[in-house]
Amino acid sequence: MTITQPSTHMTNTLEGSSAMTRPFVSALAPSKQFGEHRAVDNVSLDVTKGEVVSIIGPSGAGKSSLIRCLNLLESPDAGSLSIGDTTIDFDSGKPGKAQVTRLRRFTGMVFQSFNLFPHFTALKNVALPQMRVHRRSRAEAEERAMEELRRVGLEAKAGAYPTQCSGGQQQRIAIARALAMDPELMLFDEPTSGLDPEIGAEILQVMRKLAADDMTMLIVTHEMEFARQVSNQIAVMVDGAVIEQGNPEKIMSDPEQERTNRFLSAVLGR
Amino acid sequence: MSDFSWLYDWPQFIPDLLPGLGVAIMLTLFSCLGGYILGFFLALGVESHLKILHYAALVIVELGRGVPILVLLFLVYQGLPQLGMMLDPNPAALAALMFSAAGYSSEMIRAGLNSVAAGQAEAANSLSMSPADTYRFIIIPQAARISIPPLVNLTIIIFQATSLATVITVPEIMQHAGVIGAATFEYMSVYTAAAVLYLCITIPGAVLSGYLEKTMGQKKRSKRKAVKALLSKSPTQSATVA
Repeated sequence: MTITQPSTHMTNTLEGSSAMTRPFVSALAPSKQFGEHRAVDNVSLDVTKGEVVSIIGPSGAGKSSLIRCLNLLESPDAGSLSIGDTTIDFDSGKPGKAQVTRLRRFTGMVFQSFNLFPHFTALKNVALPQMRVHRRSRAEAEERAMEELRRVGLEAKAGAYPTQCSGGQQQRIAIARALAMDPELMLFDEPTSGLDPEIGAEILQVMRKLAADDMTMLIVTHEMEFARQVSNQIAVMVDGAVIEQGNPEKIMSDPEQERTNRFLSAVLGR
Repeated sequence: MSDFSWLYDWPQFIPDLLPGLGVAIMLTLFSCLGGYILGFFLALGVESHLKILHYAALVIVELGRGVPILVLLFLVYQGLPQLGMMLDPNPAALAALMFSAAGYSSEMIRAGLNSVAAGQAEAANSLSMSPADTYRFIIIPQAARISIPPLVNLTIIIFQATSLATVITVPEIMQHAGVIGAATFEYMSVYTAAAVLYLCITIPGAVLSGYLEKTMGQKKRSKRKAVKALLSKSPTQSATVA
């Protein structure tokens, strides 16, 4: 593996008149292989600013791997990825630390298993990363943390430890934690899959509100109805590849691919 | 000889042994402190993806755990001078005990680090926290809950092992006891006094370790006051989810 110099493969596109039409996130054929298994295979995906894109598909299709590649929790083996004005080319080896950090600053990630820090209160979970990464003062960070906790309806839980919160509350705290870092893109990796449907609805409410606030979001989900209502685009992923992408209504009611139809029939029971 | 006078004679030797207790405690504290720091880095080494680092750390750990402390003491005190490295008894004992403590502790520390869920580091990564911050604020505090109880136990064992350092003339408890015994022939009393001194440390130590095992992992901290203060500053109408 080679460590590339930050300057060599990072291109800074000039902010220009085309900024409105240029996609905010552009994944160009990233691929990720685990041993023999090709989890993400030549996926290309564009997301414009303020857009909500849902990724649906059967289990093992590589949806989570794709979204993890976008946050560089997995480093793609090939392809390129640009978010905002930062582009990383993976064909020439693993990206350097500086590049990874730069790209991650744009994104917030919400996990299926919440991954709150169990030894911190909700408030500290949201405040500490701001203090360490954005060098905000404690007072500043805590004020912002309270603001975000209020946004997800949990200011009353600020002093509680994660174990003292329900699963739904923990996930909302995790969303607040990500939002406090000022992301321009939120990635959701099956945020409701670990929760019972009623509790999951709390999370979906928070996400709807975010969408209404024009947050750019990429959501891996099995909540078809939610995906149809909230998304501007739906991407269907099967066997590591996006087989179909487009308008939610069109994909839900009249998909072009037979495989999409089969998947939807199975999950929607029709 | 059925002389039971040692049953009430032994306390008189305690004051003569106290300087030895001081040496034993200092030896324990420094060898454990250094050993556990070394053990932490050895644990990181064993976990390393770099093959050289992994195997180098593994060899050191297995040597530290596998070679008896008595052998280590002789190796350092009598063996190393042949290689041109002369150490006084106290530093020699410190080095031998530290090496052993490093080997044992690294496995305990590694178990702690491995007990922290992978999602924790991923969450910290996704928040752009640096690797150093991730260790300092996220991984180590959680790993400590698992590692500290066995490390307290190990400290007690190392304290007992300082008695071995008498063979290289370190002025610890047994060294003093041997000298007094040879002069007075009151071996039973002197060694009883020595045993009691060791117990004075090991029994409270065992109680502490038992207590830590029970309580670590469940927090009773309350930070609600600080949070209430913050809450009172914030606007009363809560913009809950629409």
